[in-house]
Amino acid sequence: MPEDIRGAAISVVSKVFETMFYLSVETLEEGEATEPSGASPVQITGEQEQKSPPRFLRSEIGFQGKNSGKIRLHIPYDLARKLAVNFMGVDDNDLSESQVVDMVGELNNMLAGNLFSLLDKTNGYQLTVPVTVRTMDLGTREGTETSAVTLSFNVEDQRLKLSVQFES
Amino acid sequence: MAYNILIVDDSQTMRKVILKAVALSGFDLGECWEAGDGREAIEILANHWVDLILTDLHMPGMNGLEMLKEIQKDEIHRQVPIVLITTEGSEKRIQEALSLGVKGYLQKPFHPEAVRDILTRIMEKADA
Repeated sequence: MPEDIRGAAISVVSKVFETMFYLSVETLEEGEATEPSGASPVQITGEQEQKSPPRFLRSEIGFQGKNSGKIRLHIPYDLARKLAVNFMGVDDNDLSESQVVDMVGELNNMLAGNLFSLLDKTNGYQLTVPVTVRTMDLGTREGTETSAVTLSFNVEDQRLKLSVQFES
Repeated sequence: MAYNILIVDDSQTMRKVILKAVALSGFDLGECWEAGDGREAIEILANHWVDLILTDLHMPGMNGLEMLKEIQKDEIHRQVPIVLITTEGSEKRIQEALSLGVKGYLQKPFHPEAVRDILTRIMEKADA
């Protein structure tokens, strides 16, 4: 199953970015996808979250069908903001953080919906509503489990990560 | 003739993008209402004249399929053409939606031209 997902996920990420944002994506090899030094895996919450600008966003959707688990999209906030401007056709000054967060959730929803439709065209999968939070890093330590498929992509010279984690 | 539309999607961003795609497509757009789930959509239908519904399936609260079942119970509202715009692509769920009166289906992501084509086809049939 993980090998099936790898090829399908690359295809789906390319399709979604080209159709919705008119952007091409480059799949990064494992060696190219390391975290920049000094990045912290700490997730910021509460008052601190409100004060500091987010560095990254992480969107998570649960899936249940032939297999069950979670699909997570990690994306730099700057890139997410550029995508939201492109997606919504608005000026950057008119864009709120909540709109960027909403767009990232919808992006993950499109990736998950298309991916799992490919993996089971007949019955499909049940998906949960996306939950998107601010984080301080690209989630390097997440998705490294043997039951996970993790892919990194270069978009507009920034790196985003998609991981599919299976529940045993 | 301008058509009043109702866009049902839990993502405010997606509702704006769908509206933009409809406007760019050259579709003769009258008034537009937005709902975040099926329950809000049913309330809007009860208070406004709607010619066309564009809806997602996957929403918190009342989801798209539950909304379609509610609409089917109403003699007037069941006549309103409905188009699915959703990430959902499984044959089972699409067939279920079609059996509940859905007239067209568009999978996200989509190009604005695809929106125009499907809306034009459906409204031509509805007006015939």
